[in-house]
Amino acid sequence: MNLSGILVTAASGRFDEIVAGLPVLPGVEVHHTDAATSRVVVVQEAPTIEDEVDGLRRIQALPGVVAAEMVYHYFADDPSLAGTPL
Amino acid sequence: MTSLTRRAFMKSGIAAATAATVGITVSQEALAQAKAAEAGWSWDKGVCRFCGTGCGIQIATKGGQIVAVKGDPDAPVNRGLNCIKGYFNGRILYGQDRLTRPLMRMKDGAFDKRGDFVPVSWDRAMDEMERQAKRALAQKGPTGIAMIPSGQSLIQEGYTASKLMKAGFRSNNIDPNARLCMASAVAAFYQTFGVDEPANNYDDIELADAMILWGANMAEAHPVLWSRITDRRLTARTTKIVNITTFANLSSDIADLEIVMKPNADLAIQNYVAREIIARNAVNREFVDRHCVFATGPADIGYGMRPTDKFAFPAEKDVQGQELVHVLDKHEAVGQRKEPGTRVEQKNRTSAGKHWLISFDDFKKAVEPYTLDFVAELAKGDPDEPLDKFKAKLVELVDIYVDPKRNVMSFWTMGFNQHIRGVWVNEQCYATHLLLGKHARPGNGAFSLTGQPSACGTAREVGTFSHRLPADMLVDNAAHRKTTEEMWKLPPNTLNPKIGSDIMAILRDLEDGGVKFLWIQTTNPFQSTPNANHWLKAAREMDSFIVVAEAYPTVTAKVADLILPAAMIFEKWGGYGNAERRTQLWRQQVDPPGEARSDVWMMLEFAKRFRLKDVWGEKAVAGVKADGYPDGKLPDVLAEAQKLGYTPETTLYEALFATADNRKVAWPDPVAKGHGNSTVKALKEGWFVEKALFEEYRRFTVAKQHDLAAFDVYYRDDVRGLRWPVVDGKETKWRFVEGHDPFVKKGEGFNFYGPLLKALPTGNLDDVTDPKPTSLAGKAKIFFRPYAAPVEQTDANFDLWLCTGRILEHWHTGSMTRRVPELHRTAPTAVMYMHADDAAKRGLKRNDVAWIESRRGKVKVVVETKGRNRMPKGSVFVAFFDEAVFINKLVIDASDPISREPDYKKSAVKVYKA
Ligand code: SF4
Repeated sequence: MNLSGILVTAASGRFDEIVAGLPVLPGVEVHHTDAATSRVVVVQEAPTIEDEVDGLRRIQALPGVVAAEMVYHYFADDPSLAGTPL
Repeated sequence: MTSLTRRAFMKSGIAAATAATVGITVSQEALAQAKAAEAGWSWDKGVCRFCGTGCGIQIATKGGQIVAVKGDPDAPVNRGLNCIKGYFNGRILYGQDRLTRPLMRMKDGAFDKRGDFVPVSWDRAMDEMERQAKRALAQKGPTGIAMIPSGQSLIQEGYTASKLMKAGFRSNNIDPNARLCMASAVAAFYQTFGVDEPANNYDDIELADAMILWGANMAEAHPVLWSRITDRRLTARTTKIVNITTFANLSSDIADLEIVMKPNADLAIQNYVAREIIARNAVNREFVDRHCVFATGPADIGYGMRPTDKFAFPAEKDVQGQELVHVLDKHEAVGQRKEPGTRVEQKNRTSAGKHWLISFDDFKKAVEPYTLDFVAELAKGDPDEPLDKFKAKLVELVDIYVDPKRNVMSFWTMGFNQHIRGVWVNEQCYATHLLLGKHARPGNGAFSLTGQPSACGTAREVGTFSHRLPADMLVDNAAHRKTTEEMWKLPPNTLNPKIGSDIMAILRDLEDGGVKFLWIQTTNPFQSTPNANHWLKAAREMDSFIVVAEAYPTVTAKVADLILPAAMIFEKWGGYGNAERRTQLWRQQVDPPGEARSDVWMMLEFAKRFRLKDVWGEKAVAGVKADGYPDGKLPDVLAEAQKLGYTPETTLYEALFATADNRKVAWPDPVAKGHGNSTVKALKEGWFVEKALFEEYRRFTVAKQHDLAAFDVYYRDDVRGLRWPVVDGKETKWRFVEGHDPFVKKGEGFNFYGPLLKALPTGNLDDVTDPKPTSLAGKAKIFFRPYAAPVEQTDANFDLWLCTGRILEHWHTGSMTRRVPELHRTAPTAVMYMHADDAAKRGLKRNDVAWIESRRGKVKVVVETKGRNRMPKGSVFVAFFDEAVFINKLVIDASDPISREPDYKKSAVKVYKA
């Protein structure tokens, strides 16, 4: 399980559209919104840490998104972490 | 709980925690969810280990592993946000190929330079190190031993390394990788202000009305500061951003003014700015008269290359020849008031830093040739841009600087520092701000950014350079040596008074056999230094022993004879100092894996193997000449040592580190709050090594106006680092200015109190006329520095300029970021950015594979004609993070002769289809 908390900032006037559009993206859930500052908190789930950053880029590429920044990164259960020491 | 509901539960918790971090109000219930999701975790503050910005992070551990990282909302630097690298401070500890055992080249059970790497015990590793270091001492004396630490070394590591080398082995051949990124900034601070480190700080971003970037692609290299600048631009709409660069890049996207210039043209543009400030009557007379003097120095200072072509590849010889004699081109000639074609013998190669006072009238006369027409013609970097348009931009740049209503900040990094005249361009930028009186004031200042997380805190402030002692003291200054010897309880004249080899000189020493034992820590010089083919060959073929302490198998580790597995950032206690003088300390969060150990532990264990009789007897060091020292020798100080209570059998560990004072600092300590200490555990001596060494080092800072706070203060819950000097518990935001800096007295207004280089002879633009030194205590210097062309020029054969640098996703040589798969995938291999027409001319198109070749070597690259960097015709850019695209093999090792920092930005290359 790879989970990241992401802060999304919508362009002025496009807040509702962004809030509606975000959950359409794979693994993305909208959890908190703040219309006054046009900000949305989403949590993204991704099978691997790689998909997680691809997902962040998808959010950043959404029309009307001014910025999308990772704020919280949880990686404890990532199977790719099982390292084999040299 | 089923996995599905557990997932839903974690998500709500993470969402609430994210919202709380960025200041979005959430319900009590949501906060309770966040708490529940994180049950059993322990959060603690830490610092990002990836760049000089110094962002604060919060790290969660559970069951001996780091499980999560978030931005720290209470960190004033980044206010809860990080760039993408910041979130992987935990992840980088867990790469698949982490080194966890010492590995030595062996054949038939013995060390063999041609052998393969075999795991060995720490004892076996240390035995060999001891044997090899003693051999080096016997063959070459103290200078046979060298060390290359890092701008990522922790404060305590730098301090230990410096003391072990300088006081223990009496070798000044210690020089950090920070030489490669910060040395020009340092020398300019010394020469201009007499003391290192900036007057201003990051708070200035929100107080400035204009931000001028000189050779700093902040959007990629300092992303969090860049987002603060972007915010300022968006919220205070009259703010102007200027990007002065050799190619359009991500920082251009938001810039109001983009100036694309030719390599080295910054020298000319800044002289044009100075000329205009005078012509427009914009000099702040009151400030300049009271607080500044004018100065200049010689122009015939060479290019920091070897003075002989004995080691040069045949193709290198023509450029290398200019080290001794340089023929002035037409722009240099005008700017230096000479005839084009003049052959100038580089007489001041070894006295490049000397300088003297001049009059304001001389300064004015010197900048006079730098007219708009002259500079525009010389400087315009994009052949497709109309000259008139470029001229208008230069005028606008001056408009912004001189506008009395504008607060102006100038920022720079490697474009200025990695420059054959890096010290000069730094000094010119201070000159602009000083002439205008726009320096060391809130919102106004010339600010040198740093690349590495502790280039300032460790390399510079602790002083791990070949010429430095702690807190801005210098090895070739008798009074500084005396102070240091007293602080370190050394017999008089223990310290070596001769400046040691800088990092490039250490590599050249390897090549010519001068250095026999080299210890490299937390850095990757065989990938990161220019002209690397020479050093790779030297490392493998010469009769030397190279020890590399590393966490991952970098190019440098693979070149080594012995690899020591190193503990990484949160596997040990430590501290960093960022670019705004902010010192930040953290606790160990998890144990290092396998047999990995902290660098401090390695050095202390090594110190146990040397007795004073091995190192403090009479030692030959060529070139030593100082009062109290026999010529060419360090004196025997063993008799004096007995008076201090040492015996010839005392070990360096006991004499330098496990002193009576340090042993009193006991572990465990309440400041640990239950966190472990891998150094103390492995050392098994019961003293709190990192705290004792920090407190010992702090005594230097308090004596030298660099005051750090006590160790425990930095661990308080309400502290997110403090900007030194910290006096009476208060940090200092602006130095040298009354009302902010505790060392500036009431009524002084400003006091540039830095003590170095503050008595100068007087002269004219060409030389000294009156050698009698004049004191300029309390003043800053406004330097005149002429235009000088890059030493290697493009020609019919090598017809393109190559610039190298770093990119957002990767940090420097990628030794850690390449272990984070998604960072690696986003930019898997380094590409060569070039103009589409330049590509077409060579029968190339986007995604084709091409050779890029210089006088020094060639590599294959993939051609990129679109994307984040938009090159003008005639220039290409390649990042240096990628082992597979070993671009530094191609880069010239010409350096600034004052700072000895190489110029990575200007090599002549050709490109052709592979
Ligand atoms: S890499 Fe630099 S900008 Fe990014 S989080 Fe770390 S310190 Fe901040």
